[in-house]
Amino acid sequence: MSIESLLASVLEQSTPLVLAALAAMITLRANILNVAVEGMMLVAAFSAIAVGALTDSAFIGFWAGLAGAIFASLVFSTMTLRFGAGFIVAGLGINLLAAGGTLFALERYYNSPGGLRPIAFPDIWHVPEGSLSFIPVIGPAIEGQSIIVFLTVLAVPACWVFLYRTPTGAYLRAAGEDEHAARSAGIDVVRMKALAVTISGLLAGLAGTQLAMDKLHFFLPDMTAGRGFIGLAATLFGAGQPWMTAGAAVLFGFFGALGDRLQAFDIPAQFVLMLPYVAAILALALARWRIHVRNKPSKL
Amino acid sequence: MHFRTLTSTVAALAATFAVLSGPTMAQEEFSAVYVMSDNLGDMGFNDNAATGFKRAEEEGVKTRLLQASPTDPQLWRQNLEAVSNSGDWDVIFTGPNMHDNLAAVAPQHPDQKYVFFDDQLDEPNVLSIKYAQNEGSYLAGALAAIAATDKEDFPLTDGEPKIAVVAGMDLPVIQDFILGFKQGAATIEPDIQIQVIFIGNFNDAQKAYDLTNTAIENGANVVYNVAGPAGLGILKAAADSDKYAIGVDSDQNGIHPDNVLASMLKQIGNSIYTSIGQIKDGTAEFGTLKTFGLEDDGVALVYNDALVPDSVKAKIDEAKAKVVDGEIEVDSAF
Repeated sequence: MSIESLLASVLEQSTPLVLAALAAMITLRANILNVAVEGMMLVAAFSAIAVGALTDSAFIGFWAGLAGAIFASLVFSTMTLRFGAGFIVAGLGINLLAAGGTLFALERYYNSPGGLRPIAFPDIWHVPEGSLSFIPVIGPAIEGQSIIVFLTVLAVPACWVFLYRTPTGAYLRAAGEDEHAARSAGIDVVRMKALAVTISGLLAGLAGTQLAMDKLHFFLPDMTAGRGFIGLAATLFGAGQPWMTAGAAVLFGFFGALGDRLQAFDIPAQFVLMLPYVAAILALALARWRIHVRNKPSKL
Repeated sequence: MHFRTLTSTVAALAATFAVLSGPTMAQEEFSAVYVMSDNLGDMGFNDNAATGFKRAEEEGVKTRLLQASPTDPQLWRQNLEAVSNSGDWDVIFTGPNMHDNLAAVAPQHPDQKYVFFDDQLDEPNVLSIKYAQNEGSYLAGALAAIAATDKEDFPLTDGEPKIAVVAGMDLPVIQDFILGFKQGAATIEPDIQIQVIFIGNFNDAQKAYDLTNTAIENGANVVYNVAGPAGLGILKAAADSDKYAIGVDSDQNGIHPDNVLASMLKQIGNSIYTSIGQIKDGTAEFGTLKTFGLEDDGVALVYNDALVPDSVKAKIDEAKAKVVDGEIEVDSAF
């Protein structure tokens, strides 16, 4: 196993997880536990492939993926903020709707419930092979990565700047910290929450689009395979801080990529496949323990 | 011609209304009905089954396929009860997802004959049919071993005896595939290195893609797809790294025509056609389980003719002959 390929695989596997984690983080800061990331990703993956194949344009497919997820997030915010549905209930509803709706569309319009695989699909922009080989180790790992990987790298500081260095970000955090105080200070809390959910849709859309358009170029029912929930776990571990959250997601991506490579050795597959989830449980336990220690009153 | 279409339409209506209108065709004709839990058009299991009924129909058997939405289990049961109550059909076929329904309905109609394929039910009036995926995988293993070591006929390989199988989950039926594959590869090349890799589910195509890339980085020249829907990711990874793959379940040769050497198929249509013949002749043993393997074309390797030369096919036919003769017993997980 070469270090370049491990690094490339970590980047590739972490990208959807980091995006999903940021999507869950931005709503968590507005005091919304967003379990709908998974469903938004699935909608994005489907619309990216369906529209990309229809128009034969990677550019339009990319935007269609984002639009699909943002549409799902608007449904989510309408249900919760306008009509007062519980966030968890509505989120699970979005997930079910996304899984069932995409399957329905496959069956109804494409007559192939097994998946949507266009014969030819336009390629999204990737770093050309050999263009960065003069940089040792990191160069070959970055070659062949899609534009969305770079957008993800930019999304982490962008989220940080938005939350901590803009007035809107401060309002959003205030609305999440203490709704009543924020309201009495003149902040439109519902609008801030709606904004958080929409940004969450945008990020989840990037995640789903990356999954479908990066290498695979097809859509399968349930192809997100729980990545939205791993992202949610990363957010909880990172306590809603952009850098910690992204770090946790990369950690999960790293264990996933490492696990893939360990399968070549004679280690039982079940154990290896368990790794990212064990890492998630350990990380969450550690995070709780840290808070526990910090909040303990000092000894007299 | 017009008369035939008309009778088909009438028969279709009759089947829908529980055949209340009574027999619409002469009764000396042998008749078979397939109660489905799915629709046609999946380019896989169901369409494959339909080919068997079509072949039987060409020989004068009256057939009817009762499609039903996969999300409407009520309708599967209704269809099964309707055709059982009518008593108009010599044999009723049914398949996946129907175990509980058939277990409830079959004992109530002891004189009605049933064929249950791709599953098993022990009732005296039910003939169960299963498929020897280990024997089909044996041939896939032989082909993979030849392709990995024969650089002249297979230019994308590096000649090293290294192959891989990327599977969905560690289940008995999947192990049956893997055992056959390993044994087939070892008969061609005793020191062959086979990586066995599991995705952990059947729909994470991105993980399948990454795992296949890892297997190829570790030297695999041919990758066998045993991963259901996620297998599309395996084939894509093999094509992107310019190595070979072997497909499964349906004819996947056309998906990446330069890389997919062959597909290992359960020939459900063949097994249905054969069993209709046997029931007609009265040689079918109801109450038993029949396994269709290489001998009776229940499983087969469908080649991509552009990639696999005739000399290689001849070698694999030799291996097949040994299994059919009983000279080689293929390992099974069951």
